[in-house]
Amino acid sequence: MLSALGASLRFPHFDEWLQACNKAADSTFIPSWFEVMVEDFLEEGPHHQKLEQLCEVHNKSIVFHSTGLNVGGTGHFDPEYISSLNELFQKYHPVVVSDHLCWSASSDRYHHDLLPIPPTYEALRHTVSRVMELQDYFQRELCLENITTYIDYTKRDMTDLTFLCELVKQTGCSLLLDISNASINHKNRRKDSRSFFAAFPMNHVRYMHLSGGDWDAHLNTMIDSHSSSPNQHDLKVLEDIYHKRPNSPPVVLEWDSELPSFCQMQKEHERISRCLKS
Amino acid sequence: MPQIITSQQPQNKDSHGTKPVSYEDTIAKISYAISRIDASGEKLLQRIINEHSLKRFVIYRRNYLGTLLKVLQEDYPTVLAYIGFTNFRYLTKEFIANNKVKSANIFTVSKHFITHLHSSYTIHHSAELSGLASIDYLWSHPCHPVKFIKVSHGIISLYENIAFLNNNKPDNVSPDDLKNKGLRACMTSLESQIKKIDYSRFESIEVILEGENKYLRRC
Repeated sequence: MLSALGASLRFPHFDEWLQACNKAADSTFIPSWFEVMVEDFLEEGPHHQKLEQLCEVHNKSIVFHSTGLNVGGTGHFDPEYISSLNELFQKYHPVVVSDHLCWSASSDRYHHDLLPIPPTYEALRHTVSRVMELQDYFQRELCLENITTYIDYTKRDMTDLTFLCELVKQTGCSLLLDISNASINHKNRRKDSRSFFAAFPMNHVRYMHLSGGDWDAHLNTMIDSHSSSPNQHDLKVLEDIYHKRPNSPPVVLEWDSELPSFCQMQKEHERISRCLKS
Repeated sequence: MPQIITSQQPQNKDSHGTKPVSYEDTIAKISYAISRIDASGEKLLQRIINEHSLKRFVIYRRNYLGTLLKVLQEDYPTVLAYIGFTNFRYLTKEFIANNKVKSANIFTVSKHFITHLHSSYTIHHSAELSGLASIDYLWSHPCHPVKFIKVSHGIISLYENIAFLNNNKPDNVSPDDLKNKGLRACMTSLESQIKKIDYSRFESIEVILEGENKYLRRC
């Protein structure tokens, strides 16, 4: 069982996390688990020894998060990529393995981006079959994250939420609720997100994400950039989720670009922690 | 027993009387439109994406170039310093136009950039660029199985000088090129080094990894 607040492990802060674990006495926030980007560990290198140290010496649990499984894509899975992931799963025994409910490659090429799946019956059948294939291959449950969507498809057979619930029902996969992604989607469509969060199948959520976005004034659009603090709205959503269900799934702050100092990240974690306690 | 949605009656026509676009075709069209970088592929999407959200499609096109550019900039700091950001961006666009990315691992994609530089005709000094790129890749991926490469004689000295000027950090590169940094004297020195490159002879360089430290060594 993961404790309420984890941390996202990013290379620039790796040594500081290890130092904090070694001291373990001052007031530094040290989580019991880390979310680790799988793509950072596809190549050999000294960072593997550090991760081993975190897991074995400091007894931290890890959650593996990837971006390239391409669950909704067309064409074959990249055999080299999924085989590398499987090796990492065998080596580090992550508590959860997560990726995104999206497509990132056509049969023609990879985009290294998270592209939305149209909520249609055809897409659902297709995605169900691929998620099952991956779960069979990895011999474990996949946890899939709701993504930010900037475009709306003309053909829709159901809501995004129904699509997601059906996928869970038919594959047995679990969910990673990204509060900020859902908020951005609603904000960009000038819609209220409350009904979405109220109906979200929390029983199937393994953990949650929070992050900060950027406003693109030219496009009049909020961009999911992971480059700032989570906003008050998203913290309030988190607070409400915990208020309604005190044993809600744990949360982790995602911050990928314009990464602040370790000290600033500590303050951000304190802010979220206060929110969980309140 | 939960009710499972499996399929609906097949829809042969949509409300406009036209045959609906299949899922595979939808993905193929979007993929193509993203890879065009400019907006020329977006006309294919009119039946797929709502008009009001089509203006946001640029975000995906921008991401496609931006993600690759970021990785290539990190992996090839000396090439970037040598040709400047404008040319580097142009080469990245050219790379995207001529190469379909076939790997889920973006770092695998990066190594194909060397081959592209070798065959590119748009950059005047493409011969030394692929040599510089090979050393950059060796440096950026010290744990890659290849730890030893051969380059044309003179490339290593050129690499050392550019890396020294650039301090080997992509962040230090100005938006244009080394000339804009007021380093004309250095450029003159580099130009004389370029003239000394002997493409009929080769020299070797290896990357040494000791714990967290790495360095390049002529061998």
